Amino acid sequence: MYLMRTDMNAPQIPFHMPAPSGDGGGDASAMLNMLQFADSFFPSGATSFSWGLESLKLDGKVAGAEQVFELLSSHVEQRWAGFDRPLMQAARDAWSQRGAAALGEAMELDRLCEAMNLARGWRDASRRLGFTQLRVHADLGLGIAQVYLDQVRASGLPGHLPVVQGLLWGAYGLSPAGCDAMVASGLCTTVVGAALRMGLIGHTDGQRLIARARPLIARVIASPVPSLDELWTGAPALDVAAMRHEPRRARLFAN
Amino acid sequence: MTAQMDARAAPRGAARVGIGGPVGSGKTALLEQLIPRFIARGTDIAVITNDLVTDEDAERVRRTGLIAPERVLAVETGACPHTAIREDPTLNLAAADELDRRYPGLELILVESGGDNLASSFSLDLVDYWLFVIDVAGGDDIPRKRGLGVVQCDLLVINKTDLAPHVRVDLARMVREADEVRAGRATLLTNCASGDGVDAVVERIAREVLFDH
Repeated sequence: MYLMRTDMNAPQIPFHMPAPSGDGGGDASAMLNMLQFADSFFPSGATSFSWGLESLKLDGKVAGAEQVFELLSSHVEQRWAGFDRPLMQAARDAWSQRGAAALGEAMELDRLCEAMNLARGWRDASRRLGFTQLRVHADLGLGIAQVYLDQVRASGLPGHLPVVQGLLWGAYGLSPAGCDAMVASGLCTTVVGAALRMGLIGHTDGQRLIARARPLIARVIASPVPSLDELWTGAPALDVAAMRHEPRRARLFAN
Repeated sequence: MTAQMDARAAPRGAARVGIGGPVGSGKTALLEQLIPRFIARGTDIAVITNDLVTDEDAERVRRTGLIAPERVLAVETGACPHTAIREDPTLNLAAADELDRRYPGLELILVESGGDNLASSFSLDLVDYWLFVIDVAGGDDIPRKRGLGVVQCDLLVINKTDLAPHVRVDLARMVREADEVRAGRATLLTNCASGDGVDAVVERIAREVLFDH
């Protein structure tokens, strides 16, 4: 196992944090929290990322709604399900069970995410988006976000998105299923929004794609979360797209 | 259950000044004129550009040799430029954070928006002060159209004043109408090709943002 220890050098949280949470998604406040954080209006930086779509379009591999859906399916089933999801859920669980004492564990997860992220395009995006989440939630006054942000600034900790999301949303007491739904929904909105702006689809097709992705997402969420020994991805076309995007000079999106 | 909130003040770095305006109005040209003047007066500066599709503006500024290339960061917008400076400025804030971290004595970050329309504006969380650059060749009716950028910016810059007679623009009327819609906010005239009028822009930023006298 990677993560059974607690980092004794982890900084202390200088204020009270909530007790380990149960299912926080059942009440209206948690539901409204989730709607706020998953809304594309929430400032997260996501608009600048296409997750391989721009590169595949420029290579002539994606030309319409059907191919956009294939890309979306690959992201959900071949990347998120086996990699980002277990990392996010592990960070959320750690916070829910141990509160501030889970900080060292989150840092280990962060380093694991860095080590196992193959393409630089994915790695950089995950770090940048993790940073924006930390920054916004710190500005909103969430103490753990400020503490983790300080670690990222001071020690070069990567601050990867799934770990940050798990940690922060655990601190808000959000449920595992709710967190899964937020991430998957956000991923769909980001990719479909990028497809819309690139002129690959219209707004109606965009909504159809989001609805069509729902059974896939539900299936993933209903399956057990893989353990950290079983992290996996299996989307080589996406990885190649990410790598081909890196040297492009003319591009609208960061990945 | 909700998380305990803690209103700790976020660390504050260099002052941030936004430069917005329509495509081709002279934002990058103004930037190129501002950089050497701030460096000459001893201001520790850095630049963030928001290019729409390429890193053309960032490369243009780096190539001038006016500023160390590593002090110029480019942010990809992924959408219309105002998205990255207003609705979701988080990547620009992250870039500013990175510059603050790299250069502890940094005093001023100039944030250039990609070319946009007259309704673009900056998030108050991103910048302390912002300029909106229009040019006479865009037409002397721009101020009276009361675009958000023209009306709300801290400093309106009307550029390419030398072109006024060639494009049949009544510059005096343009300034008068800008004054009317801006309710007392400042308007300055520049020709960024020659540098005319840029000193006044520097003086105003120094006085109102860096609090120099």
